[in-house]
Amino acid sequence: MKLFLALIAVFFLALPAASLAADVRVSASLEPEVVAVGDQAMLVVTVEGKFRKTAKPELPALADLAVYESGTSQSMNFINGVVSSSLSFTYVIVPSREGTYTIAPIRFRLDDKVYEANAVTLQAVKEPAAASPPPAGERSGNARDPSGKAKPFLIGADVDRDTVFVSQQVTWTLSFSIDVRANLFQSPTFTPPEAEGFWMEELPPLRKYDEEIEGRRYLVNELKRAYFPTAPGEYAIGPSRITVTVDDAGFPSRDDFFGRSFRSFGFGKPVDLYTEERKITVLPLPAAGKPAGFSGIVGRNVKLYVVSGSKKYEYVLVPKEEGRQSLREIRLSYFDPIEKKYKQCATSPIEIAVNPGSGEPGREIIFAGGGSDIEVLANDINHIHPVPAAIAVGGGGLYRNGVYLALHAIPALAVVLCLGMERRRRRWKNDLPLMRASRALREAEKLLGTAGKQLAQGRPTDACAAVASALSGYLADKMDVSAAGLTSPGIEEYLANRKVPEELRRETRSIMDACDAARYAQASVGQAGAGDTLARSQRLLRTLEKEYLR
Amino acid sequence: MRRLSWIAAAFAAIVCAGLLVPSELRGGADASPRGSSSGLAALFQSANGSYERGEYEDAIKAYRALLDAGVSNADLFYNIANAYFKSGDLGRAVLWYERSLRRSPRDDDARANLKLVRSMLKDNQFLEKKTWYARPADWLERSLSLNESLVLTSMLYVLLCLAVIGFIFMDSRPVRAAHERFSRVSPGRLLGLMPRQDFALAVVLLCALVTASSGLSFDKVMHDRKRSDAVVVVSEAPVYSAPAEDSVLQFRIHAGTKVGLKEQRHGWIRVSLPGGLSGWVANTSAEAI
Repeated sequence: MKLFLALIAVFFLALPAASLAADVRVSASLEPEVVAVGDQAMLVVTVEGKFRKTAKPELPALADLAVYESGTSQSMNFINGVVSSSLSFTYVIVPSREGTYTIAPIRFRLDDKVYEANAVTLQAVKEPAAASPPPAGERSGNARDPSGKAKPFLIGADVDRDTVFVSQQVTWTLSFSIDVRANLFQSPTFTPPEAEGFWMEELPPLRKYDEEIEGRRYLVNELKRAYFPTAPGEYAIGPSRITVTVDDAGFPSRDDFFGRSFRSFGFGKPVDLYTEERKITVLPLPAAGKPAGFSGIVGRNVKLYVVSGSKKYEYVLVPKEEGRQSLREIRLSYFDPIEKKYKQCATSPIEIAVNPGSGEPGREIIFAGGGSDIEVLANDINHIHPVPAAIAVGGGGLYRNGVYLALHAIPALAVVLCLGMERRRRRWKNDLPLMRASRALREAEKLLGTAGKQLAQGRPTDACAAVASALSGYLADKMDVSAAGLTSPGIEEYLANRKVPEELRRETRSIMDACDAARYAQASVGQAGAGDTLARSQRLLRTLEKEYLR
Repeated sequence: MRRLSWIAAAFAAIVCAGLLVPSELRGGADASPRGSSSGLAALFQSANGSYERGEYEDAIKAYRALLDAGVSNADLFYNIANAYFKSGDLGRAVLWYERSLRRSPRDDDARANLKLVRSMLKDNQFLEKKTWYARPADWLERSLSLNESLVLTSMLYVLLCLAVIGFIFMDSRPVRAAHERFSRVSPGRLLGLMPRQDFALAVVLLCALVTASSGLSFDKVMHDRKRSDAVVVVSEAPVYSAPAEDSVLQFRIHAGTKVGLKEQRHGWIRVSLPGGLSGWVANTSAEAI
């Protein structure tokens, strides 16, 4: 039995964990699947089902691919009363060499179970010349100041194109190189450029790599931003600023400790470094051929130029009619800046089979044969109810009814009564003389009842015997002695001690004598005499109990 | 022990009587009827006849005569709501469907009709979303009428008293025998508890159930006494910031919109809507459910 209970307990304890891990699906997608070396692809690992949010996917080792975490997003859908949730982990993948990379199934470990996503393949092609130009400015050839000393910091910014259409993306790249031996007092701070006439999106992540320029080793930090012009005209992406706090004793100092002045142990000196302003010419979108529903999207193949890789629109469809419904194709117009013309893409039409609803949640209706769906022509209310079987005045809240409320006292009183009974039973159990004395009258009345029946049956002698037993039994219980051991002097003494008056003592003796006479001289007792004895004994016992022997 | 058995039997009889009497009372045992049962039934039938002939105003008058006679019945409320709907008074239709559902919450016809009428109302109807722990109580509240809730509470209370009595007399042979026979599905016995512990567990569980059920019943009684919900019965009711027409007109509500009834003052009532909107409307604009 205990083993069974233990198994039940284990089952119930294991149930939440099992349900937590149930129905988990993991999938991976890569967008785009073909990128230039150094460009970014977004790897999205989507986990659907119930799971702890602390669990994370395990990415396999990826040679020649830099991986950056780019956050998570959670989505919940409430459709037809069913709640579904998914958590998407986004990673930015940057290939450093040409080639085809297969990212092995990404694992998602939940308790003891391991879920695997599908494998995805990334193709890295040769870096196009215009795709990611090296930032101009202070790079090689400018790594020394006019006095010929090596510069500890190099900064430059450039754009991928200086003539664009309205809404076409301009990628602005900032390159900030720090000599690996430079002694920075604080982390550099970045002040972004002003760019009036553009809206901007960050293009994470910050790339970091080592580069050797004119024989010195620099740590290069590369930051990208996407700017989208909102109107045609001449615009500029202004200078950005990086403030570094350097050792004001000069450069380099880290490997020349003794050449460093004492001031180098101070708080350092802030130095502002600026990039150059970049002029951008924004052309208007051609009016000719602009589609009616043009939404302002400018790009080639659309998704290549959208900042987040793709834009997903989700709509909840609530069918209002049963049957086969068709969702028309959805069209999207965009402008291709390379071919300089408007294009349109469209989804395929979606067919939806709508089953008749039950009208009530929790019930499912399944197709059970037949031809076409029933056509609902109109809706109306349900008809009136017939005359109720029992119609009467009243019928308000029960709590207004006094009888109903009063009835609640009965169970409570019963509980109190039972408590009293149980207390008495326990007291009697520990005090036998008390129990005998308490129950003496009841036992005697039982015998007197028997005597009454015997008298009714015409058996006066038996009735007198029963009366004698009742009386002697009553007195024996009160005196806590055996009925057989009762003696007349003993009774007399007991009654006298309990201050029973002489009259009642005499009556007791008289009844007992009458009973003895009837028992041992049967002929002398008649029906009337026995009845009289019975009545007298009933009166006597009640008087004794009530007045003297309680 | 025989005496104990007699007491138990008497108690059970009283309990049964106690449970039966309310159901009789619920049916409307009225010591001084203002109309005979057959007369009321004839009036009800006559009202239904008017309705079926399309004489909805006459039907409403006849149904109202039943109300005036003191009849308070879910079917009557439902039929009144139908008659109001057919006569184009959506506000009062909603009001009487709500009243009908208070009496008979599981009436599918009333639910369906109310849903249909709500879809025709001018104002969007909103409900307060319940928290997950309040949902079971909310479901019970919507599924049980006031009287059903009270009877459920009474039954649980009687069971609790029986369990206490069983606990008191646990040492007696009849109670032990009864426990042996009837406790085969008792959770305490399944968990391997001693009979006394089993009774104690039953008492604790029943205490919890009685408490929960009493809370539910109390809430329903308070709703019934205070009549804290109302329905707009005029086509449009302006809602002011104070109980005066020269105060700021905040918004307007329309026929059939269910509102919370907060306060009454000199011909005005203060109403509230889900989402925190509240204000004063003329007391003729809305009727308590």
